[in-house]
Amino acid sequence: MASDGCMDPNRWLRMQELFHQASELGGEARGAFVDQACAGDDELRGMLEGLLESDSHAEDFVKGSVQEAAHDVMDHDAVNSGDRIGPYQVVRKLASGGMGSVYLAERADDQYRQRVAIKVIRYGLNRQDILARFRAERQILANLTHANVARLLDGGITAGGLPYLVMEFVDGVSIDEYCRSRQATVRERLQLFRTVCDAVQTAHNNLIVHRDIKPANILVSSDGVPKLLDFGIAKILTVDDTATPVALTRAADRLMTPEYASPEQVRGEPVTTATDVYALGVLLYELLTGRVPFRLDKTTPAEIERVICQQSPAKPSTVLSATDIHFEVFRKQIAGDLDNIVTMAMRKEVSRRYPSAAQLSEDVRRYLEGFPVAAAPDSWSYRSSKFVRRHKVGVAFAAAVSVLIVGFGVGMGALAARAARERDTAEKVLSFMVSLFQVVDPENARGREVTAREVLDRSTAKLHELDGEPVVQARLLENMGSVYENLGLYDQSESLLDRELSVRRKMGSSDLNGLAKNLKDLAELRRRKQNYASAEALSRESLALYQQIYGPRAFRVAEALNTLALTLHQKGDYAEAEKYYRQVLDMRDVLRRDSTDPHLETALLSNFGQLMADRGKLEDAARYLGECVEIRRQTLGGDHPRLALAIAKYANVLRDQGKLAEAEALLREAVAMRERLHGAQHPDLATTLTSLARTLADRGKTAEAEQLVRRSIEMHTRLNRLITPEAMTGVRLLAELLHNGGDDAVAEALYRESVETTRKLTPNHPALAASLLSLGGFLNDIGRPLEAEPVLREAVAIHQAIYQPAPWRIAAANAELGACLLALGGTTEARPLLDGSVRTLMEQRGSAAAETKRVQQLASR
Amino acid sequence: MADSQPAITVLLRRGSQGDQSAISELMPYVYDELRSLAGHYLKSERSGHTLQATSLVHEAYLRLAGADVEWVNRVHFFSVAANAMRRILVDHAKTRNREKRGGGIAKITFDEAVEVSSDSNAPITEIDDALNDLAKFDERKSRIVEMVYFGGMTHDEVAGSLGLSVMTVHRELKFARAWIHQQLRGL
Repeated sequence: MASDGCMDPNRWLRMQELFHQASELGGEARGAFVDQACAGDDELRGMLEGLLESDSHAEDFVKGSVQEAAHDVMDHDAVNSGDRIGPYQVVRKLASGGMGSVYLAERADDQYRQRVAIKVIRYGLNRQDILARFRAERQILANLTHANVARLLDGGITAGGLPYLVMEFVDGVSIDEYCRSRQATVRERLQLFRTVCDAVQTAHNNLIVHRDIKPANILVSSDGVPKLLDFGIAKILTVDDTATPVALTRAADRLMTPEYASPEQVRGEPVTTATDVYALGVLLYELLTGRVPFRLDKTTPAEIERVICQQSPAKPSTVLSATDIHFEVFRKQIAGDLDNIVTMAMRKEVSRRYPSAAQLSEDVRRYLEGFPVAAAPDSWSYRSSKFVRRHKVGVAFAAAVSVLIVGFGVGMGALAARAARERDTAEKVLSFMVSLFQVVDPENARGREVTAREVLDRSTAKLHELDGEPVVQARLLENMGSVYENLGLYDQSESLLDRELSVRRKMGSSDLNGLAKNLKDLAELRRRKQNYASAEALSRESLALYQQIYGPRAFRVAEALNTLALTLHQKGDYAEAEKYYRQVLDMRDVLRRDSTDPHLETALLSNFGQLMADRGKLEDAARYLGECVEIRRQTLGGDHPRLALAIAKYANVLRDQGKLAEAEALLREAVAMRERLHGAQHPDLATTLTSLARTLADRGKTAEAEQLVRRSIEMHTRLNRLITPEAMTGVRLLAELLHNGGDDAVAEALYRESVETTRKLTPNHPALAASLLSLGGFLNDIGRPLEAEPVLREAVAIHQAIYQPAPWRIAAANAELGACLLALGGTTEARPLLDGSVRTLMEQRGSAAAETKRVQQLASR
Repeated sequence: MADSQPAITVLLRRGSQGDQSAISELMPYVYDELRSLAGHYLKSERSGHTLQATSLVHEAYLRLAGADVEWVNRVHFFSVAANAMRRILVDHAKTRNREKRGGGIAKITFDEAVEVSSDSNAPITEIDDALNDLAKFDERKSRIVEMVYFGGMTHDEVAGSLGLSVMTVHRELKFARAWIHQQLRGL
């Protein structure tokens, strides 16, 4: 115990001096010093030696004592079993929390046994304030009755002077513990979550904000019923006084869990229902991932504020630990929609969150039922990708895969008979493909929608890994090019094929076969892009190579002939084209026998039939095209781009023959098939739509015709293919419909646009001829023959240049010019033109053809 | 006082000027912080982590006043909080002692390992008495002990607060605690 404390000040000072001096000495020296200094003064010596002895223990002693006292305070229970609190008797302690401890108690009356939870607020909080607020909130809270909300029943002050609140007792575990111990699935967690949201919404409807939503405040009973605790209690216990400055509010709000605090709460701004929505977002985050979005263990208020107000939480699907078995499964399900829902609920800005707990619950419901959710980073691309995922990626992707596999498969089969070197290459190609597909697997994609397009783009990037193996690389490029083509992405395909070609050219003569095919594929692509000059050159080169490799009567040669013929055909060189087509037709038997490409024969039939149609030989056209359709129906089994193409071509011929009903039916079939195959956007679909529109227009179904052609034009535009003959066909059709509908201004603009655009094609392109003819005819019809004349003269000139093999076309052009001249008063030139045209058209197109009728009409003016 | 200034600072200033009511006003918030901090540490998974009352106060300060409060006030806070902390610990111990004598069984549910041996520690009331005695003839030492062990202040901070050199603070502290030990455990 302390001695008589009063000590002479001088003595006190002396003691200190001696102590400090002595403590700097060690062992012997110290002893000597003490002896010397305290000579004669035993009391002094005693104290000095005592002090020196204590010196080594003193630090730990004082520190430890204080520490122990601190522990004691921190952890002390004010309430024990058996204590009475109001009308209740404490059974046992349930939990300790930041605000105090919670005890299980029973009502002591004889009347009825009621189990309650009593929260005793710890020492240190302003109890009068608390009670006052409790009294204020009591009525509001008493009105809150909901199956999933634990009711607040009563409140008061214990004998020990501590405030307490009595609540409905909930026998359960916290929601996160419940989910963990049951190994609840994502679906189950979401359903629990929705129940919680609904309870929160009910409270909000009663103007009660929870403010402290967290797993510890949501208990789930053994039969799976969640109940929210402490509704409104945070408000009672929080210093809410507006006169109290922010810093103190924040301090007192240490009652709330920082991890669940919203930005506005941290900043001390007013708490609203949106605050609860935020907390629900954090709750969902934790239920899905097992962890909170922000770790705030050892941070200062400033740091907490920065993290919560500025730092974006990592997306739930990205934080799931690979070591946590349950959650690995979840990751795949969470990525995407659920990520977005959580993100939206946890938005820093109140206005960007869900407006209510009910809407958050709704979005979760939408997710559970497979509908698009409201929460999305970028709604339009999201919606389209959701659409694609639901319907089309499956098909397009499968198509892409099948092309790759087929392409590879063909190689594999052919190579099996060859050298080991080839087999080696094939294996490398295979393993590259396999790795490709691993990229493709959406489950590897970590929550992003992966389309076939993306796969290919990524694969293109990966290709440089094969720079050291040109043969493998070349073959891969080949395969990938065709996939792009199938997806209608011609530009990518072309660049790949170009790359391949340059690789091959450098390789020299070691793989002529590959080179020939490359040339053919590239020619094909160029042709589709209307680059006819290049296409023709490449085709001829390819043909020459194949002839060199395989001799004159081989299917590859036939293939190459077909490509060349088609190129010439589209270029407008009908005579040359027919020449090559007939060569191929001669080899039909070879095609059927040797070709690994099942389409070659029908492609030939189709192309040739088309040529016949273009030359006005409709019966021949119908015969060949009809045959093509039949064979493809039989061999392709269901939807196929080539079948759709054949049907469309055949239908066009039928239309020209005046068999409109049949044509319409077939074209509708073709359109539907293309939609199923390609989705909403594809150049071939657009072309088919135009054909159908044309037929409908011819049948007088103008409204639908207009709708379809507009759709087609839009599609061409979206796909960057507006500057094509096919698109211009549609434009002219629209112009015609508008003109018939009376909108001449727009019609004229469209006709002129068609002329301008087709001028950019190869000189004397049939499409230009058609455009000029349409414009001229239109101008004439609306009574502007002066303007029409030069246009029509040009049209006639081109027609004469290119349509020698198809006189009826020239005749049709002449008829328009004749009508125009007639209007200008020059009958001498006009009359013979008109009459001659009528005759020619009657002969070559028949009376049913639209052109014939037009000409007849013109002649009768 | 300006409304815009955080109230803690206001209280701190008043407390450092000897305003007892300011000190008692601060106490609940200090306690607040201490309790939640203790809760945090108790929940922490770091085994073997020793809870120090002083570090709690230190943390409490940071949470209450924020990192951007002036150094002067911070030191004032500590010195006030140190006193508050001492009073809390002592008051609580006295209440507990009364309860013990009354017969109720107080349960201490403290499950975190504490690296102190209770044999060698003294009840806080005794420490408190010793400090009171010390203050009768050497108030400065008593304050220094209080600031360091109850307030968690560094020697630099104590020196600055009391206008002393750091060396002086070292010496004072060394002597004072030895003295306390000797009084309570000395032979």
